Amino acid sequence: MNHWKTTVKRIASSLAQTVVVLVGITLITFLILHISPGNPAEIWLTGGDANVGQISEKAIHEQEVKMGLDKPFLVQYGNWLLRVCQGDLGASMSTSQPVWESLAESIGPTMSLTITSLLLTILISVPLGIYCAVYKDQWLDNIVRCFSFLGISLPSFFISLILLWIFCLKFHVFQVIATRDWRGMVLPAAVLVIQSSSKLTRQIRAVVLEQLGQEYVKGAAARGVDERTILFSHVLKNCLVPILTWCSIYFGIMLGGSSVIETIFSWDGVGKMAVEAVGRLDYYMIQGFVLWIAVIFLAVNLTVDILSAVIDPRIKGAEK
Amino acid sequence: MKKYPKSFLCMCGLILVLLLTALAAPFLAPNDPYQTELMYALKGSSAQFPLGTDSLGRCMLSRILYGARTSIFSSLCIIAVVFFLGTGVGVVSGYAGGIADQILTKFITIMQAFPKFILAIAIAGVLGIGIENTIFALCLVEWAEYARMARSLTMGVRQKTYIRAAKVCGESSIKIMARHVFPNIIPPLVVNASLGISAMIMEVAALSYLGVGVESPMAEWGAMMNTGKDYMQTNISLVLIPGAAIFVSAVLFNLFGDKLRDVLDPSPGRQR
Repeated sequence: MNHWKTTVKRIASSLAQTVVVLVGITLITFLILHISPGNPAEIWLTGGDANVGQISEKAIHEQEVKMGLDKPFLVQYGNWLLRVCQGDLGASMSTSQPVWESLAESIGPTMSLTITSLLLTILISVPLGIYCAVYKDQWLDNIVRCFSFLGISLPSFFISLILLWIFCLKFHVFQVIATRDWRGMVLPAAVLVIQSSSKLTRQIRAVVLEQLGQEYVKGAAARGVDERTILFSHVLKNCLVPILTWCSIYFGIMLGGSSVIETIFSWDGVGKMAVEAVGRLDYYMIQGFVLWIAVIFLAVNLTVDILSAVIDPRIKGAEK
Repeated sequence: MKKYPKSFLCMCGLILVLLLTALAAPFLAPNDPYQTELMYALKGSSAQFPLGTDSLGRCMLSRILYGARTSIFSSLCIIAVVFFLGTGVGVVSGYAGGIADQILTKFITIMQAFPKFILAIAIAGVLGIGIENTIFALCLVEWAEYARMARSLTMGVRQKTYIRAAKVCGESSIKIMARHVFPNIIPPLVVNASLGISAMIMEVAALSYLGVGVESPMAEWGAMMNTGKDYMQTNISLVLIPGAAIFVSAVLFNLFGDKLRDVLDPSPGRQR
């Protein structure tokens, strides 16, 4: 009985925190956009094109009234928040398409890219990381460490440009402008996999090494427990929580879309959308994107908490 | 004197060489990095231009050397600011506890949930393009990670006997934080910061690559790659050379961070 009470209490408090974080994030974004020198009303009227010529002050003012931009900052934010609570994210200031519609359109490609890349990353990193920890300082470990070191020292746009040059310009394997099928996904996914698997392999190797150095491993070995049993049923079990945590973090980061990679490969995901929205000072689009990122971040945090509590009973016990 | 491993000293030396090269760019550069000479545009390497020229006929080697100053020193600057700002906030939050800690933790969470890159682009867009605004934007989004780390480290030491002893002796909270907490939590933070330098070099370059970093003629590696990519089909070296420069400095700082960790924080579990 008592257990349920604390669980409900924890969920309620984490929900309250979620709301605080969401309001905080959108408020700060709104503030930054508010103090920016561009005028969304003017951008709306010119359609972001500077060559339309001068637009009369009156027309701009009328548009400002229409968009509610003449009101004080907090009123504007309050109105936006009210509408979001009713499920209305507003319409894009440059295409007048509803924000949730454009978001949904770009989340699809980002999602497919994310799932592909994350699966490949896990398939590469988990076995390699474990292998390298067990066979530390042997030839495969040295090679893998070398590669992962190179991977974390290469900026994503450099890898992207190199791949673009080799596969699109030199050997014409893929088109420069990505197609929306699997062929277009190969290169952006490759960049993501190179980067995240370099990091994840290092992290997994480190955590397995740490566990292998623990006293209980020595104890089990002294008692004559089979090495394989120690590794698979003791060591890896203890590594599960950090590994799952990292995977969820990578999932969150990738779902946020990589602006650079998506821009270079013209992959129409959320990252590319966000960069374009910032370029046009599209308030509501930017807000929609920020909301998306915040929701992912919070969801990932929550998932990690729940997963670790489920897998590792010590964590549940450690909390009051 | 404490004896440091040879590999660590070796890395220190290499980092020093890198910094000196960046500092001495005006003396090392064979040409003026801003001198455009369309006659010599897109030429390969020659005696006058050892690494060739870019699309406006500017000397690539000179631009790389001057770019080193922009990229490396702006990254060092960002790391220094976020290190002290983040650590300060984290130590106060962790040591004070109570309501102050709750508010600061919320704030840290909010800043961490931000899409860093987009926020940096937005700030650069708001404040205008320029290297100081890039630095400001990245500082604003990066400090939260250090704050979180410093907070949890502080929580780990605040119940230690030496802190309680200092309290009993009547030392002020500020003094305790500065004299006792800070020195004791610093090694992992320094390691994290030194590994963060290469990430900053790449982020500054990425922002410049997207066109929101440095202003147009300024020599910077990411910006050079951005202009170079239009000539990729014919002259890949315009992309390869600045990319290699970023890569080499990132490798050096990463290796340095690794060695520093071995020296300061020898437990194997602290690897990222």
